[in-house]
Amino acid sequence: MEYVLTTDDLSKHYKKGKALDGLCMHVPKGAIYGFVGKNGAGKTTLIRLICGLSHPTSGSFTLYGTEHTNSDMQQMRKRMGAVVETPALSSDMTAEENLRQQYRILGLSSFDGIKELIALVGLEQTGKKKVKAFSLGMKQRLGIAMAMAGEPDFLVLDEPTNGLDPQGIIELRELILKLNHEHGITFLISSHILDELARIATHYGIIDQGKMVKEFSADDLEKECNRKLHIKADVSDAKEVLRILEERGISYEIVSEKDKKLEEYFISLIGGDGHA
Amino acid sequence: MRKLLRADLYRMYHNKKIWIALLAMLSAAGMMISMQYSGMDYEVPLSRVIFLPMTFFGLVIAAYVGFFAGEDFSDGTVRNKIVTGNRRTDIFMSQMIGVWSACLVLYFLTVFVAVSVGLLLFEQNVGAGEIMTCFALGCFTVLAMGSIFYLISMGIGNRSAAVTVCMGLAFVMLFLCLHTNQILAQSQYKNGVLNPHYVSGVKRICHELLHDMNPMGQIAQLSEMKYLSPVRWIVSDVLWLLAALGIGTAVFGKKDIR
Repeated sequence: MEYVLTTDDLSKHYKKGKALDGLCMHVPKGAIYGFVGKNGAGKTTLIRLICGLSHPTSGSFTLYGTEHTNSDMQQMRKRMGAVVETPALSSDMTAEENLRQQYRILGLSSFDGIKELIALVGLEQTGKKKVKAFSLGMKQRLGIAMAMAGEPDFLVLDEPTNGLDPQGIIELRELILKLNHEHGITFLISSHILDELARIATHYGIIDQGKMVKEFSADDLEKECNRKLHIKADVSDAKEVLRILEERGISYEIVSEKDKKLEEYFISLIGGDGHA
Repeated sequence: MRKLLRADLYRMYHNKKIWIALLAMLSAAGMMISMQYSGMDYEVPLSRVIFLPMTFFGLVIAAYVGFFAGEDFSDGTVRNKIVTGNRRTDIFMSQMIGVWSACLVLYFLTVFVAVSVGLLLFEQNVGAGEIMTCFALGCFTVLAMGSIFYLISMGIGNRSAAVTVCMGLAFVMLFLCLHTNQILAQSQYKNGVLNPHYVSGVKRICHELLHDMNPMGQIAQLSEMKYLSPVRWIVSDVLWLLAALGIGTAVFGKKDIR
């Protein structure tokens, strides 16, 4: 399998403790990788490392097969876009001016495509409104448009639904799916909203205390969390019911209708303390 | 680095803060010139007016650089430059050049206005060559000042804190300059007797060195169009520039960007 991002025993230590502790991770090409963990588990730290905003204490990571210590890493980063924590925007500029600024930083020769990007994230009505007057959701969408400037083929989104209203979340979900399906963009998305993540992710990585607890695909999750039926039967002859179930190879130990989802699986892997 | 410089210069001149800084400098120039013109009962020489508004430069540029450089960190836009694969050295250098350009533009326009108005109102006691020499020395001073404040702003990485610390340092430099200036201005003899406050020998050399190394001390000299040692002045400023570049690239290269 071809991987866009891999990390090998990656660690980041601060004075207060270990934010990442020997993390191993594999983001396949073309995947929508849902990165799940509690607050302080190390999700943003990892994203900051791969974006070059901070340096690992030990271990390594590769981007498109290039080691992070390799001088070509800067070139590899040109192929990725990211929204880390809050969107990085100049508050005194309009949406279009911010995108123009991003184009300049990228060294793009023309501003073609800016209008399309603005329309893509639904900010075409903002006109001359400065970013400082934007809602959090609008800033988030502009941040995503900024990350998409230069047509990257790997997008890293740190809690992208923060501040979005339900309609905005649906639009963002559709946008991610569209970019993934039509443009083949690989996504690494960290999110607390597991239900939302479960709707789009093709792969998952669960992190806890800076360590990867488990990586699995959406198919694996489906197998692990397959639907099970709980029949509460009010019957005169329970033995007869059990005999029929056994004859048909149906488990009868289950006592409630259970639709185990990503959220429950996550809790079962890392324990129930805290919040994702 | 050219693309980053283009982006930084766009942000700088698109932002109203540079125009507020310019307005502050021109207001200072207007105030100083009118005070010199109307407040004296003798004809004030031009040499005392041309660079006089520059006494405000340290405070204005401290606030401006703190805002401009600090904003890149506070808004998080510096992250965009790193994430898109630009080298940290290039990012640091392009911002530094941006700061230098702002310093030079503010300096040039302030002096240009002061000279233009001054030629009409004051006694012309200085030639073009003398003005150009002082202007050239002033260029080194403003570049050194901008470099110091940018280094601090980058190291702090927060707009409000950067403005506060830069302004604080500007005041410290100003008070240090007033102190050294007061000592160096003492004449050797007062009323025919040796002035006890006059310092000489090694102590004087140390005070002169301190006055020349302090960009505010240089501005104090510039405001009177007199200088202790142009070589020492230039060497001091070049050392400030090199130190800011060396320390800045090393610190920024390893800095965790929030």
